[in-house]
Amino acid sequence: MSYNPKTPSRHHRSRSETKTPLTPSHNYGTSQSPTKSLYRKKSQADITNPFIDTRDGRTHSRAGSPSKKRSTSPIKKVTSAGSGGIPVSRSLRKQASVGLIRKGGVESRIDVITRDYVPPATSSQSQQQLSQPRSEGKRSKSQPARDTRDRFITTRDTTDDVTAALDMMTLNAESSSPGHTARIAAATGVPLGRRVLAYHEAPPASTSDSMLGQQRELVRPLYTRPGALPTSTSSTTNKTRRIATQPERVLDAPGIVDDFYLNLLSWSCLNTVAVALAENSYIWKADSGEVVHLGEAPEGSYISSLEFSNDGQFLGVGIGAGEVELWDIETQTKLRTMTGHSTQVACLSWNKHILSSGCGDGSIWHHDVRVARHKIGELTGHQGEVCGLKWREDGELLASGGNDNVVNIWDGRVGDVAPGTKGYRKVDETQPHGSRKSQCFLSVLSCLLSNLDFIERFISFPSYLK
Amino acid sequence: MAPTKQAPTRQAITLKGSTNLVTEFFKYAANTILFQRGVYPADDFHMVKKYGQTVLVTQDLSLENYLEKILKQVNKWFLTGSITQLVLAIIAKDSRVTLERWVFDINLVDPPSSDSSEPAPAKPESEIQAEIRNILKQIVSTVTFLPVIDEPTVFNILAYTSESADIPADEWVDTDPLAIEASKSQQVKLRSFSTDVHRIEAMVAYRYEG
Repeated sequence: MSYNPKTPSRHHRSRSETKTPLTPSHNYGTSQSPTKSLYRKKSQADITNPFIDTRDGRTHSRAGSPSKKRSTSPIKKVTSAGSGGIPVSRSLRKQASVGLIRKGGVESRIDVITRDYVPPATSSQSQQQLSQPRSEGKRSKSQPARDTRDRFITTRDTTDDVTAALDMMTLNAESSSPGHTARIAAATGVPLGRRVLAYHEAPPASTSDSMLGQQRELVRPLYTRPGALPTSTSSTTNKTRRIATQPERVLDAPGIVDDFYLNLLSWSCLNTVAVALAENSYIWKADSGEVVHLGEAPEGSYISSLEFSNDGQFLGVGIGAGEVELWDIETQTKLRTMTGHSTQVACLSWNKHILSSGCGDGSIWHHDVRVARHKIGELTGHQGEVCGLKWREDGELLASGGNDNVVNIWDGRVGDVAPGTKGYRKVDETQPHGSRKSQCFLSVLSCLLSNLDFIERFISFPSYLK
Repeated sequence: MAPTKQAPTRQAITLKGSTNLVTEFFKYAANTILFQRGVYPADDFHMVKKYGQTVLVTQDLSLENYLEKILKQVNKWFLTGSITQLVLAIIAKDSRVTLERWVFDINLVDPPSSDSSEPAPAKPESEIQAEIRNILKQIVSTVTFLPVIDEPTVFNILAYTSESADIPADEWVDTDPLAIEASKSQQVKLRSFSTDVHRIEAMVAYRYEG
């Protein structure tokens, strides 16, 4: 394994980063005798502490610290950051090595204990790091046999981590004092003299043939495919459905008429988008990215609606002056102009060869685009402008939404009837609180209503129509 | 599960025989786990008849050799009685998080008391095999409650030995126990089986953060 066997835990330990000498309890995997490691620490403490054995450094530190000592975090008091820490005199060290401190005993004892119990939460990282060498060295000298279990707690944020660390610990009796090890063993429940071994090389990876991998992916059962099931493993819990917040493509539409009553965009089944920019209509072919200028509205007018036929070959164009045009996409020519409406045609909908147009005066006309006398039906049921129009997929019903806060459902069986024949208005649904904004809703609703399921579920038909 | 026999005889199964039996069990148990938990692709495995049932065993030569090498050493430790636990850990390949730990505790059955009276009849091999079969079946059935792993994983085999164990220094190294944090793990005890010499207790711990 790649883990360092000296570290009891994979978790981040704030203190262990800069710690050069290991305290006895941490000497995993080393076989030094207790005295030897102590000696090593002593000498390392000497190296890292430039003020050791000097009277000046000691008084300096003492003078600087007392006021802070009891008022702020114990870590902060430890060193005056750059100075290298509280010095330990030689006599103090000698006493420490036998487990007792006489000179300044109370204070140094407080040092050790309070630092152990107070987590270094408020002190900055740099201060923590600077304080490390000194605190480690000092503790191991002054309190060689002290039960230092609390050290684990202070370096953990949560109790979970503590448990984890204890779980993962093994003890090596040779490298620390017997009493200490026994206490740790008793506290953690880790048996002594146990070794955890792993084979020196990692298990072989499965064959990584990309072709084979693809085949395997295909034959995987559904439940083992990624994201098929919510799992409780940590690494997969936050897999959520990604909803794009950025558009995949942005097309510039200069001069598009700012009027939400108009329907200036249509996307055909052939993956082309028609858009009307004021009096010009353009085709954008999504497959190739090609932009084609299809044509212009008559002089002095504008395009108020666009709608592709169901096969995507033809484009119905409603004009602000009331004409309805028919364009061939392939040849990019205007096939015919169907006149008759008095004001703008704001919405169009195709049903096979019948193009229905909703007009500003509230009337809906059916145009049979194949015949010269194109008007084959008129539906008058709206007081306000027709702003949403949608045939149901099978052509049975037509939904229309108007500016008068009414949604009408029309029987679609127009047949070959004389012009001027009125269709039946099947249902009307009045919005009680009409407002301009509700028109958008109506437009959407009329689209929804073209689905019969929706209609039957939410709207009650008059009994005579059933 | 049948209770452990307290006074087995050494005539039927010797230490060596028991060791081979247990080692062989580990081979099939490890293969079953690796197959069931999808550590290696399913088509790496082929079916063999063993313990009166079909067991899936890897065909991947490198993996086969790897397991062979490990089990060979485990076998030696068995003979000296210095191994106490064998753990198969399943680790997420990318995050190195331990997802599952399959723990097999190895206990030496107390040697029979030295009274020379008629010892209890040896545990018939068919009974041992039935116990092994039950463990393997249980491993298979754990997929019903273990969390679905849908990321690439690797495995590692850990051997818990006594301090005095004879360890080939360049092949086996001290390592992290790959434990799962206690608060995030669930444990399920599986069946156990015993020969006249060894008793194996199986357990699976898996990461579960409710």
